[in-house]
Order: sequence, then C-alpha cells, then structure tokens
Amino acid sequence: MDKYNVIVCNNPYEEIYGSDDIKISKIIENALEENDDLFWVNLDGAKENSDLQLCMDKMPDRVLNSGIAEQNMIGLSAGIALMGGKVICMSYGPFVAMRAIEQIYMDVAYNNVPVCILLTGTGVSGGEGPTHNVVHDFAMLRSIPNMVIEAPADSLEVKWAIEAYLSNPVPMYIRCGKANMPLIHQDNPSEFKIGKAELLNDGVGVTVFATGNMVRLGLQAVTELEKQGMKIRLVEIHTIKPFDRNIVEIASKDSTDFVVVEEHSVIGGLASIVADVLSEGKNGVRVHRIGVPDEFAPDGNDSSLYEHYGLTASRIRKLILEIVEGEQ
Amino acid sequence: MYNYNEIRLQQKVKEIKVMYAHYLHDIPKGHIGGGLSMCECIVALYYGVLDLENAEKDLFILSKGHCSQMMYCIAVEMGLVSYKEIVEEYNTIEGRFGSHPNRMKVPLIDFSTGALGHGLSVSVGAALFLRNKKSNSKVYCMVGDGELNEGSNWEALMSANQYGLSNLCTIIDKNEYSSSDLLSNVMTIDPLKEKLLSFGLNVIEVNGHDMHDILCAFDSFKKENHRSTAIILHTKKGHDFWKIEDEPRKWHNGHIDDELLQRIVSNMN
Repeated sequence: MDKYNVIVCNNPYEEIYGSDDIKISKIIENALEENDDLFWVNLDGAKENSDLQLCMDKMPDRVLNSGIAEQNMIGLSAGIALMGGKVICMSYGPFVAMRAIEQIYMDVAYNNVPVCILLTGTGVSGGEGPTHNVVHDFAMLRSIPNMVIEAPADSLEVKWAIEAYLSNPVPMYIRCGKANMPLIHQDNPSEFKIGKAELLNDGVGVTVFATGNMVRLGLQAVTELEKQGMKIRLVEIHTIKPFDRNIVEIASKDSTDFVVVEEHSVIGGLASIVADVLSEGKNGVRVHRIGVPDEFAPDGNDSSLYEHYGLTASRIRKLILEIVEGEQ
Repeated sequence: MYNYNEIRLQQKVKEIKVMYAHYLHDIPKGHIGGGLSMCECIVALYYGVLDLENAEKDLFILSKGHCSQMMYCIAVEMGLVSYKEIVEEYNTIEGRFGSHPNRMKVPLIDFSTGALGHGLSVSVGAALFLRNKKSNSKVYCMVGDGELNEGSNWEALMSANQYGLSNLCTIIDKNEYSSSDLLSNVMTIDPLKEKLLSFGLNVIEVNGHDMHDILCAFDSFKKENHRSTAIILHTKKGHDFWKIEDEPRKWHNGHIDDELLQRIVSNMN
C-alpha cells in the first residue's frame, strides 16, 4: 500500500477539486502532435482560452466541435475511425451514453471501429441535478459486445488508458470523474493493463472492490483500518469490461464478505458484475453494495450528494467494521 | 461533361432488375419496393460515378440498409460473389448475406447499417477524414425519405453545412412511401427541397429513374467546391415491376411467387 498516494477526503470533492498534475487536455494535445491520424471531437466544450480552444485554433482539421448533438458526434467519430483514423470523442458526461447508445452500439461496436469515447463529470459529480447524473452507463454499455470500458481512478490511469487506446485502437469508453482526478498511483505504467484488476492492499475476511472516484475513498478507509490493526483487501477495478473474473474467484476463497463501492446505480454496475461472477463459482460470499440506489437523485452540489448517498470513506470504514463485528 | 455510356447503364439496370426479380423469388422475402426505387442510382454509382479503381476509393454508404438485396445483386453483377451464394447464404446463421448488410462479410459494403438514421453522420466523419488527408475521394450516402423522419439525419446535415463538406453527397430516394403508408399520411418531410436549402446545402432534384438526369446530378456534385450536396431522386417504390409498382403500400417487404415472377419478367421484356 505504501506505493499509493493516500488522499484524505471523506468524499471525492470535499476539498480536493482535481489535480492539474496531469491534465486530460494536455495528454490529448501531446497525442495529437505525435499521431497525425488522431482526431479530437468535443461536444461544445471549448470555453474561451481553454486548452481545448487553443488546440482547435492550432489544428482545426483534426480538433472539432460537434455542437450539442451527441448522436452525430458518435456517428461522425465512427466515420473517421472507419477510414483508418483514431478518434477521441470527448464530452462532459451526462448525455452521451444514453442519448447516443444506438450509435455506440451500431456505428462503433457493431462495425468494430476504434472510437475512444471519453466522458468527464460522470457519476454524481455533476452537481447539477438528476438530469446531469451518469449512474447507468456501466449497466448499459457492458451488454454491448466489443466495447472496452475503463473507469480510471486517477489522471495517471486516464493517461494510460488513452495510451492503451492509441497503441491498440479498439472501441473504448473511458469514464472519468470531474475534470482532472487527483493522483493515487505513481508513474508505473507497466503495472497498468486493460482487463487486469489491481491489488492495492491485501488482507482476508473482507474484500473491498472499488472503481473510479471511489478508489481513493476505499484506499483512505483501509489505511485507517490498518492503523487499528485490521488488514482489509482492497482491489481496484479500472476495467469494467473485459472484467478480471480471476480476482473475484481468488478473493472468494478467503473472504466471507465483499464490499463493492461504485458511483453507479446498485443495479447493473460493478456490484452486479461481481455477483454474476460469484454466482458461477463454488464459493459463497455475501456482497454488500455501496452505490446509488434505484431512484432519481435529489438536487445538491457534488459534495453533498456523495454524503447523502454515503459514497464516502467513513461509510466504507463503518460498513467493514460492522461486517467484522458481526453486525452485518 | 461526364463520359458514361448511358445506353450501357440502362441495359445494366434491366439486367439487374431481372436478377432482382429472381432473387426475391428465390429467397423467403425482402424489401422489394425500396430496392427498385433506388436501382438506377445504384447502377449509376457502381458502373460510372464511383471511383473504385484507386487505392483511395470513393465511399458509398447505404443508410437505408434494409434494401440490401439490391446491393447483393450488384455484387453478383460485378463478379464479387455468385448468385448461388447470395441465395443460399441469405439470412442464415453461417451465411454472409443478412437481411441488413454487413461490411465484415460482404465485399461491396462499406459500412454495416440497419437501424435508420445512422449513415449520414458516419458519412460526415468519413468526409472530414478525407478532407484532412487532402484526398480527392468522395463520400456518397443514400437515405430513404421515410428515414428522414429520424432527427439524427438532420444533425448530420447541419454539421455537413457547418464543416463545408463539399466532398459529401447525400442522396434521398424519395419514393413517397414509408413502410406502412404514403409518407405524407404518416409524417411528411415536405417541403424537402426547401428544408435542405435552408440547411445550406447545394440541392439538386431529378427524376430518379432517368439515367441521364442522375448522371448530370452527380456531375454537378463533383463540380461543387463549397457546399455539401443533396440530390433528391423522385422515384417510384417498386418501379418497373408489374403489379408491385401499382401496390406500393403492399410491397415494402414481400416475396415474389412463381406466377408473379413470370409476369414481371415477361413484362420487362
């Protein structure tokens, strides 16, 4: 666990609002300079003087604004990829996965053309009301063949996911938190592999599976429990599809309980995937879900929603303690 | 001016239509009407207009993908596959020729379509890519008129105008019918020319069964350097097939039996 940077914050946007250590816009700009067949399509995202706007001014033929038209954005990205280009198709999260699901399904996945869809502000990080939440995307997209679904835990993993796409272009969906995500990992790209879960901490009895923004909360929770003498296994899942089934099978051998933490509906997301895999195995393990319940979220800014739903380090810690003490 | 042999192309249309009649007899069923309304244009494209020789070929996307059966006949005529293959492998588990076309399986097909309203956006992207490469290749996309009910098409056309894609040609097969009824009874798209003009496009209207008109329209498209082009083909659903052309509402999807086949073929001769 020492090789990970433990960030102390009860919910993802309590104090740390993102890190500029590694900016998504800079990652893509560098990639554009190194790959002359790479296009960057954005959905009305170029604010004045932003990195994106400066990039659009510099490379107008390859950095495009699709306007507020999600279906067309995905469709035209598929057209670019069909012709042999690579495309990073980027939007502020809420509307793409649902609105353009047919385009993702048919134009990208069915035609198997390598479009990288990168969304920011997913989960409940929007803070703009339930119309602007993305808590259904794992459920929808994981049932589409050919899609790779990445949920990075920090901006280094965003960078590695983009690099993985560029070196092996396939239909990919990268689901990020709000803008730039504070760093948990150190710069060890060789340990990052699409489809491979990462063991952040080992232990027995209770295994925590976490993804995206929730990883840094899980890391904080197990670090605090370690100080109380408890060793709790923490597994980071950054690849939702293809899912690393093996890690569930291994963990099920010496766990009595799993705690699955995700910024997604409790229906159809990571908890459902873990339960699916478990149900096909020989070891019975109880799955506890920390996620967004089956309801439309209330209004509230980003921080308050996490607290409201218990998507917090304190809830993870409390739940583990209850399990260990036999109260759950 | 263009340099196509119109007589040869008209003869080709007739040959393909005869094959098509047999095909819709030999397979369980297909989208007969819509295949016939677009036949002349498809022949014009594959036997004249499209540059298929160069490494950077022109692209054609059949957005109204349900009319795949006509494309399979073209593939046979071009010597890419055999007639036997398109019959035996039609809509089977192991077969290559699905009721909607698959680019991974059929050599002629540039993009797999099926659900309506997808082809134009993909064509916009392809045209953007080609322009960035400073390629001379063109992108052609055929949509149905009923298909234009889908809003996604209009997003695509809006963007074709915004990006100034003069290398993109949208072709509308305006046979006046959707799958259930006259389009004007269902959800009219008229006035179509005015709508397209208001989207900033270069709009050309022609008789979709007149080879000369069709070829002239494509020639105009190739000369247009600023705006994206839309060619409206005024067509008849089921054109040239005895009985079928008089019952367009009935023949969106169907099968030709022995007696009908005989009448259709003898009528064409």
